[in-house]
Parts: sequence; C-alpha cells; structure tokens
Amino acid sequence: MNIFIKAAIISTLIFIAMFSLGLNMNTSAVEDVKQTIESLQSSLNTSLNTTNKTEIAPIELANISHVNCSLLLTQAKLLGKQSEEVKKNLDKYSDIESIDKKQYILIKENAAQLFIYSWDFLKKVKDKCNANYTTILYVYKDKHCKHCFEEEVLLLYVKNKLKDDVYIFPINGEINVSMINSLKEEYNITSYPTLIIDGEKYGFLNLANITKVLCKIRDFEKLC
Amino acid sequence: MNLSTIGFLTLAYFLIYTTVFWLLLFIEKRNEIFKDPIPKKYPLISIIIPVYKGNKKEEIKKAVKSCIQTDYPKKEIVIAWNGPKNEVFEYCKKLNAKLVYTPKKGKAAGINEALKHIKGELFCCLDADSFLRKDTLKHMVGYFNDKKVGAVTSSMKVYKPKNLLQKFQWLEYIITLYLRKLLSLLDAIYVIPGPGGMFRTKVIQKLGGFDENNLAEDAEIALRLQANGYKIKNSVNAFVDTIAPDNIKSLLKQRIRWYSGVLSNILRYKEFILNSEKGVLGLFVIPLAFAWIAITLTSITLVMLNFSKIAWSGYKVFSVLKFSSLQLIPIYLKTLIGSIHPNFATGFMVLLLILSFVLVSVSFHTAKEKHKPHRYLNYIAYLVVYSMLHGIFWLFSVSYLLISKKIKLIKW
Repeated sequence: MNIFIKAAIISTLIFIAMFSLGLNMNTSAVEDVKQTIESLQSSLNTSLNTTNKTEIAPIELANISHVNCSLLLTQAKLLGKQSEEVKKNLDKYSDIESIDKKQYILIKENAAQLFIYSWDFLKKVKDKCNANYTTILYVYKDKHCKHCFEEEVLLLYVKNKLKDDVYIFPINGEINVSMINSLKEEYNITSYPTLIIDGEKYGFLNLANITKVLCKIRDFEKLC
Repeated sequence: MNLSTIGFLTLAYFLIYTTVFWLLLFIEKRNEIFKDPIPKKYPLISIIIPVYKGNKKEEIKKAVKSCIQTDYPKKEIVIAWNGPKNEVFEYCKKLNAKLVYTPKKGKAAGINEALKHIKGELFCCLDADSFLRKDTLKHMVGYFNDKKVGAVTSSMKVYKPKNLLQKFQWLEYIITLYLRKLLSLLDAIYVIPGPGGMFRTKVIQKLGGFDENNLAEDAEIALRLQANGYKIKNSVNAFVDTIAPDNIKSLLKQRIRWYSGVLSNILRYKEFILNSEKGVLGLFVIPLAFAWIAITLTSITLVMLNFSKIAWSGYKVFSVLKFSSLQLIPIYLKTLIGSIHPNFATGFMVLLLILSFVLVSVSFHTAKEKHKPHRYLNYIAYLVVYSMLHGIFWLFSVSYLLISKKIKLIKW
C-alpha cells in the first residue's frame, strides 16, 4: 500500500481516538460544572426548605423568620462558598464553550439565576441576623465595557484581602433570563459595571472608592 | 463548534499526519537509510572552498586541513576567492591549495570561477567555516554510480556548540539531517547546503554554473538540477561540521538569506508546485513546505497577538492596583494554576509532544548521536524558545522578500 495512504489511515485512527478522548474530557468538564451547580441548588433548597429540585421559590423573609440565626448563617456562608466554587469552575472550564456553546450558555444562565437567589438569601440573612459579612453583586458585560476588567481585578483583590468577610456574586448582565431582567429593572441597571454592595447600588468604583465604600460599612482590618 | 476549534483540529490532523508520515517512512526504509552505494570507481574530486574577505584565517586553515586529511585517494583543493582582496588573500596563497580569484562578489561567483580551473569529474563545495571528516567524501561518491544523480548532499552538524543558541541549532541540524535523508529517499531534496554539497562537474557546467544573482544559490541549483531531470541524493554517514552563528543578529541575517532565498526560488520554479511530473517534490514536499510556512506565520502572529494582549492586561492590572501590584502577583499565579485542567486540546497536545519526542529520538539515531537526557531537556527549551525564534525569522524573511528589490527575482 502507498505510504501516503498508510500514513493517512494511521493518522485518521489516531485523530479519531484523540477526538473521542477530547469529547470525553469535555463531557466530564461539563459534568464537573453541573455538579457544583447542583450542589449549590441543593443547598439553596435546604436553606429555603423547599423540595422542588428544578425551581426555587422566591425568597420571602417570612420563610426564614422562624429559623434560628446560627443555622441561617451557616447556610448563608455555605451558599457563598458554593457560589464562588461555581464561578471558579465556570471560569476554569470556559473552554467547553468552544465545543458546545449552547450547553455552556444554558449552564451559565442556570448559574446566574442561582447566584441571584444565593445573593438574595445572604442579603436577607444579613438583615435578619445582623451578620458581619458583606455581599457584593457585580453586574458586568463581556464586551464593550470600559471598566469591567478593572472592576473584576479590584474585586479579586478585595476578595483576597477580606476572605469570608465578603461574598461576591458576578452576574453577566447580558444574559437574557427573566430573573436578571427583573433585577436590572428593580435596581435600574443601565450601565456596566454596576455593583450592589449590601443593597446599595454603585457604578464603577476604583480602588480608592471601593475601599471608601467598604470601610464605611465596616472597619475591615485588612483593607481600611 | 466554533471556528478556532475547527482550525485547531485541522492543524492537529496536519501535524499528526506529517509526523506519522516521517516516522512510517523511516520504518519502511530503515534498511536503506544507513547504506551508501559502493563506488564503482573513485574519480578525482575537486574540493572548492569559496572564501571572501570576511572569513577568518584560522577557520580557512582548518577547512583546508580537513580536506587534506580526508582518506579519499584522488582530490584537489581549490580556494575560490571572490570579491575585494585583503590580507587574508595573501594568507591563502601560503596554504596547501590552489587559489583562484574573481573580483565578483558572492559564493556562487567564486564557485563558477573555480569551475573554469578544476579537473575533477566531481566537485565538492565546502564553506570556509566548515570541515570535512576523514571519510566524508568516500560515503558520498558511490551515489554517482547512477548517471541520473547530479548532486549528493552531506549531513551537517554544528561544530562544538558552546552557547544555548548554538545548542539549539545543533538540535535543529540533527532533525534536518534525518528529514533530509527521508527527502532523499523520496527524490525530493530542494536545497543542497553549501558545506559538503557534491556535484557532477560536467552537469553543472552544462547547466551554466551557479546563479550569481540569487539569495540562496544552493536552493536554486537543487531545483534547476531536478527541473533538468537529475536526482539529488543524501548520505547520512557523510558528516560535515560547520560553525553556527553564536548570536541572534548573525543568525537572523543567515536565516533571512536562507528562508527568503528558498521561498523565492520555489516561486521561481513554480512549475514544480502540484505538478505530478515532478513526483513527490511537486505533489507533496513543496505544498507541505508552503503549509508549514503558513502555519509558522499564523502561529507566530497569534502568539505575538496573545503576548501583546497579556502585556496590555498586565499593564491595565498594574495601573489599577499600582501600590498593591506586587501583592496581586501571587493571587494571579494561584488563579492561573487553578485554571489549568485537562481539556479538549490536552490529548492532542500530549500526543503531538510524544510524537515529536519520538521524531527527535529517531533523528539522534540517524545522526549517530547518543540519547543523553540533557539533550531531550534541551529539546523542550528548543520547542518553547527556538520555535518562536524560527517563526520570527520567517516573519522577517517573508517581509524582506515582499519589500526588498529581490522580489524582482520572482519571475511569474
């Protein structure tokens, strides 16, 4: 047999094997992300005392008013950590988008909704139990956003400084799901980036301003 | 699946195919690779050493000495001085070699002048900074038993590499040595490197000698020989040692000449491209060379774009967090390390890396070099650093070809 054809057959077999392996790795990455999202969803279900696995009911303060603060704080911190884990995995496996964009968008939509629920839960628990953490909802856009990159770097810096004293929930404002649209409507979000720090809305905050805002809330030893 | 993924998969298939092809060819022809034909006769060989005022006395002396010390029975040594004279010319008169002179500049002009004076049925070119080994000529001469063989190439190695740049070139020459032999088995050699190229004198004289207005006369003569129906062979046993550039500037200068020269000559002999009458050279090797050039140029452009993006991001990060930028470095490193995970491309990358290591290992075997661990470590550095340099050289060469007057050489 001609050596060119032989090489083509061997190369094709190797290519198919590698392609299958790649698809497998992609599937396991998707599963990994889904799993962290499911854990977050399950924690939310537990926190809100719902059994509905697919849809979480809106959080009413009345729903959690009967639960003691110690338990609520534990659940809130767990949700905060799990949300961060989901965000980390979404960033880590962002390359799955190149293989299955549709799937990745669905995952991102799902995660964004859970972030909003978690953020809302943490905010309400803070109000009820006077918790000493701060919540930041960071609404951004991937493209055509002058200060989004800077804000993201600053938030990374803030998180690293304040550790569990702050929980950051990043939401892509361009995701077209009803919950994000309602949130944008409620807070009148028209520009990016927008930060909602402990319920107060801000536009882009540079290092000096974000430090000022956070230090006004609490005298963070490592930042102020 | 997006466009960049499709591009990646196409590139991956191309790289797998080419590597598998070269390895398969090696396996199939393993018995022929090291065997040189036994010469039917030992004709007179004229060894021509083109020299100009820029060559060093000690190197010329060493080159001549290496010619004298070869065990080939019938030889004459000719120093072909080209261009303006200086004190080195007077020095050459004292050496044990015939000295011919032409006021014309260039290696090709020197060889052409020598062709008027030599008596050898065959002639071998040797650069003034290159050295023959004792048995080099004996290994090559047997290929001329075949009347259709017009030239035979030697196997070049870098002479005593000292710095990292020379060590990278040493590795590059070893890989090239292996690939050149395979090209020879396919009758598809498209360059006859200056040091150690052996030619049938009458054939070259009949074809009008070397092209004196060419950036790479060694590529031009290779294509002209094949355009006229002659074959070019290679001996992996005929080693020639050459001094490689020891700094980036000289290397860049050399590579611009080589790469733009080869490219302009391929374009000049365009009848080879995708021509089934020209065999594997026209149908496979030249298109493959074009594909490699395209991949190299695209890759280096993408790498440079990504580097500038990273540099710009870095600048933005540090401009945002001026005072605390140092504290941010470990956070970024942590994020970066945390983001490394096996993904869709990992399998392909690992496979290609393994295949390339096999290829390097086979090259060491072909070049009769030991498989020392530090050489494989050097190869990793070679892959990262030298492949980038290689891309940059190609970028310069193509730009040079496009903007310089040399483009007039391409007769479409």
